[in-house]
Amino acid sequence: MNRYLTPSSPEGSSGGSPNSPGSVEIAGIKFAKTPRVLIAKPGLDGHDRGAKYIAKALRDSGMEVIYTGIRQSPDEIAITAVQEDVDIVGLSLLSGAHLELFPRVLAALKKQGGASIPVIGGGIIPEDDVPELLKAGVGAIFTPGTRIEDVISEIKRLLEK
Amino acid sequence: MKIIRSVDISQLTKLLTGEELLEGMSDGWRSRVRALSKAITFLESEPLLAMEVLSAIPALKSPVTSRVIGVTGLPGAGKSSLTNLIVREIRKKQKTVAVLAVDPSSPLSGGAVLGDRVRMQEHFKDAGVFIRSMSSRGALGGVARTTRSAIRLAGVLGFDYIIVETVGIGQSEGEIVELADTTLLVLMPNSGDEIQLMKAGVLQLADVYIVNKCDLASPARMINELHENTAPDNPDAWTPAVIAASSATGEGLQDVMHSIESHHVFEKTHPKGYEVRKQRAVKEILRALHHVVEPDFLALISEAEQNQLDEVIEGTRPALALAGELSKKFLRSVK
Repeated sequence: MNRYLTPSSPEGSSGGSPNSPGSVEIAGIKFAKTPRVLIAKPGLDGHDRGAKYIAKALRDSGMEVIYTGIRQSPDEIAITAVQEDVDIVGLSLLSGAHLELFPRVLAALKKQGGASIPVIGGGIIPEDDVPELLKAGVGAIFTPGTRIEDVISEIKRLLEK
Repeated sequence: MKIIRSVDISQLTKLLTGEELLEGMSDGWRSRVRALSKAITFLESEPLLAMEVLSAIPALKSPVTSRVIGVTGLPGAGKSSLTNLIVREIRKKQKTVAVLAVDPSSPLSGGAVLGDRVRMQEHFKDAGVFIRSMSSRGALGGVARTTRSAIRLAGVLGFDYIIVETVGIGQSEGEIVELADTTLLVLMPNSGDEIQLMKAGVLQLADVYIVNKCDLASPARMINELHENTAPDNPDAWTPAVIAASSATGEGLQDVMHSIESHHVFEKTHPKGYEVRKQRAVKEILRALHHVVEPDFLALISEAEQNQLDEVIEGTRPALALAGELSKKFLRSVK
């Protein structure tokens, strides 16, 4: 037996609504399923107001947010991302170690079988460092003052890439 | 879109059993864990396909050997911290464990913050521990609609224990006892007086009662009242254990582990144990029936005449009456 089941196939819709049941609309943007987002704090800084703020904002926009707590190693973040099957990983960092830690999270994700999971970052990150992080494979960097709508549309862009 | 919107069931089966490895992965166990986490997402997004997927997995035809432990209780009573300690004890015995931690979804946005993991950080890197947070997605019984299927899928990987941590509950959310072999109810020393304990509901359903945080206040009164209110009338039935515990100091933890084991033995050897499992199966089938026919009935409702719906809205026709008619119509259509 080798069948593909999709929401649009007759088996999948089985008399249900024409819209796929999993699809959701968030801040006016349509997602194929409820996005699951991991908000993680790598490294040693313990200031998680920003991480908690973004977690709550994404929750209020309708996403499912998994929060790891502070002081997580790249491996711990990657294993969590894989077990939780998140669609995107958001890193919050205020310590200044982003050039070191963000690429290590990307490498750990690869090792754990989560190479396809996009990573975004936020926190206190100087403009000058952004090109290097993007080049290393980080999907987007958000600095203080970013509007939540922009984060959501950026998540959408990365999930469709 | 990178999010998986379709699934090849036969391949999924092979990935779950380890017959095949995910592309680019050499570690068999890691690959299976990844497949499990993908499979749970798929069933969460497409609950109507759960039946197809679960009945297509040959490994699900052999009896489940995983022991399912439910951890339920008041919000903030220490369910996650206690779960963390139970996982630690299980790992000391070299047994593997999957944790399915359910947190509530927002009734306003449908979103959720799933934070039970924060209490279990010490196990993140342990390959013998799988932790999955689940949003209740509007379900009100304390667990998510997909939790049962997730238990079945985790069973395919042969975890020795599967712990289901419910959302923080009030008095009536007792669905967990339909899923778990052993249910622990976590309370606090000041959870309420005897009248609260005399009330019906989830307080009658647990197999083990834990008064947590006993380092903060004396649990003595609570323990006495729990003993009085949970002792079964039938001397043959399981007498629930009542344990004073503290996740902070580890007090009572060994008693909790011991009770989980004794309840397991009771259920496997006592005639009453079979009865309990049979009742559980009947309830599960009923709930599954509801899920199976729901789309058909939704379609029937949407086909119902506008004036019939209006009558229900206006209150001139009881919803029960229309439901009865639709049910008859449904039965005629399948004959």
